[in-house]
Amino acid sequence: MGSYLLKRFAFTVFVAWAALTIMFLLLVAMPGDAVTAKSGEKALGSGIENNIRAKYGLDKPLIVQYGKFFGNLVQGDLGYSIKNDRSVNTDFKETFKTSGRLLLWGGLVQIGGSLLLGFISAARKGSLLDSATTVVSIGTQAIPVFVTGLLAQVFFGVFPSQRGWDWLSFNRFWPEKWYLGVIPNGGWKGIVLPAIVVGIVQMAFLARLLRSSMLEVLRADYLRTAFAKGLPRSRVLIKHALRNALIPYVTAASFALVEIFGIAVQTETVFGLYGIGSKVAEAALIQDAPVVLGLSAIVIISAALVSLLVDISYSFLDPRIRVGEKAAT
Amino acid sequence: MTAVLPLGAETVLVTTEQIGYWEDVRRRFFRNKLAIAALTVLVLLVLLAILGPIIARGDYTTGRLGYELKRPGDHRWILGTDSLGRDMFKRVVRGIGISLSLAAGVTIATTLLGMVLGGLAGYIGGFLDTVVSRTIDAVYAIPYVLIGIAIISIFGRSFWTLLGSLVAVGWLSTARLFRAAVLQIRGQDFIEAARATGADTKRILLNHVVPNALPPVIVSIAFTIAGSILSESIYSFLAIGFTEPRPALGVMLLDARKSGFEVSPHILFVPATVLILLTLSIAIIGDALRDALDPKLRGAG
Repeated sequence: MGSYLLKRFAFTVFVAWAALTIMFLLLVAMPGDAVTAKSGEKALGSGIENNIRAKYGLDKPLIVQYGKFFGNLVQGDLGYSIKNDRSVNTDFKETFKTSGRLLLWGGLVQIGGSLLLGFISAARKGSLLDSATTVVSIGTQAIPVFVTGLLAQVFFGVFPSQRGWDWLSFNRFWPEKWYLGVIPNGGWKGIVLPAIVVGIVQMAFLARLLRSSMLEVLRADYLRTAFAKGLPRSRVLIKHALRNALIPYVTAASFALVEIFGIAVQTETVFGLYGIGSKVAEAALIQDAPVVLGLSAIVIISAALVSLLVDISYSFLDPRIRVGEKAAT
Repeated sequence: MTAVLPLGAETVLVTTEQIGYWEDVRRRFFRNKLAIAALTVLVLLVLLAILGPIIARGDYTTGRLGYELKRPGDHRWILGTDSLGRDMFKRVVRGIGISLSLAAGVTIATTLLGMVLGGLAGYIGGFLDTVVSRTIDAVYAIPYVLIGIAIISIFGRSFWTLLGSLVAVGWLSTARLFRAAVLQIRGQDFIEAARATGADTKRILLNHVVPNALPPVIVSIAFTIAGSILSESIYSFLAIGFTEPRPALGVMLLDARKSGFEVSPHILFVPATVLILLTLSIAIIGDALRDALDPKLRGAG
């Protein structure tokens, strides 16, 4: 167990480092460097250009800049915007709450919805709910998140309010006050659409995955034994089938985590939320490399950490991993 | 087919039909009604992309004052006009063409790159495998939108950088898939047998490994096409992909968001419907292919 965790941890550190290095190389290679970001299209004298480069350390060799980036990152300094000299830490502090809340509620929709739908579809194979889950699963994966978001705004915002159906009108402002930082204090309708849009893509996909692995487990001999010895159906389904079917589900959910950033960028843009995703997209448009790099670092490191946690949770789900055997998945 | 099998002195007549794997795949695919419907929709869209620009000739990039936001069916605009008075039909048929040609380029490049790198990594193993696998792990840890953002910021916005940034992300999954398939096939007895008969590496790879590892790649081709159409529209919507006046579907959707789909919903619905039909039909075909190519389901309806 100990050596397994150590190996996973080393792998996480490697992946995060390699990913950050790739991003650093990409972004520092940008032709639109500090000078373009500062001056726009206007030509500056070479003296001024050199001063600007020196100010942001861009006149130093690449390896020095690289060392400085990692050194600052380790100390919690994400760098400074070339555009307006603001600290990226400030940008992060302003945006992470909105993104965090969006992902939290979207994640609840995703995990809660997929567990429930996947479990019921497997238990009642061939039912209406089962077919509906399949259709929604193919649909949500084939339709871009921002289109889902725009259509949601039309059908649960524009059309109801034109007809005066207030109860169906969910296109409201993001709540301003929160209990304990995460529960909206009034104006809860404002989080419904963004959370569903964030969650639904992978909810349907994960539900289908859980369904098929449940169906596979249900055919196993030990389940027939469990039924044969007279255990109640609900107990067999939950304790025996669901628990074993969760292993491939957790794998897929951990891959889904990296993708959630792409989903969040689109959702934040569509609903006009000031979050990490929309901030990164905005900074990229004006070629503000340090902001893109600093916020990317946060995203990459947190994704790597969460997937490490997921891996650790595996070893509790699947005892074979603990004793060093290869997982069946 | 009737096969005559000599068994000792007796001759046994076998009348059950024996069909090859690919014939079985073809039949099972065409038995799937949803897949046929999806294929029909896709063929129609492709025809529209090819014939549309010929039927609806003329200017589709310059706006016309006084003709803005006409509803579909109004006068001669079957799909209405957009916020600048441009014919939506003219734009949307070209949008399908742009999406499909970009997707074709991305799919060819990712499939070749993924098969070569993944196949060599899986077959040769060792150091090459370590380098390829760790690169895949590292790039996978970066959300794909960030890679797109970075690449497009370096080289500027153009058809080729968009293609490049989609390939940079897309080859990962093909390579990973093909590597796993090759690894699994490499260890099997018939490869050993082929090597025992004196076949060289090139022959084993091309005649034995590649054909057997192909089914998952075919499925991944379908999803790569759908995925690159999706990514293109996302990049264009985030203003880092195609830009005005090029009528890519994502550009039209961004325009719908900026210029009031609340008042004229057709400027959102037209490109959204076309995009959904396009990606949904390809995804359904991919799903049906996956079922049809699965040897475990052979003979099943």
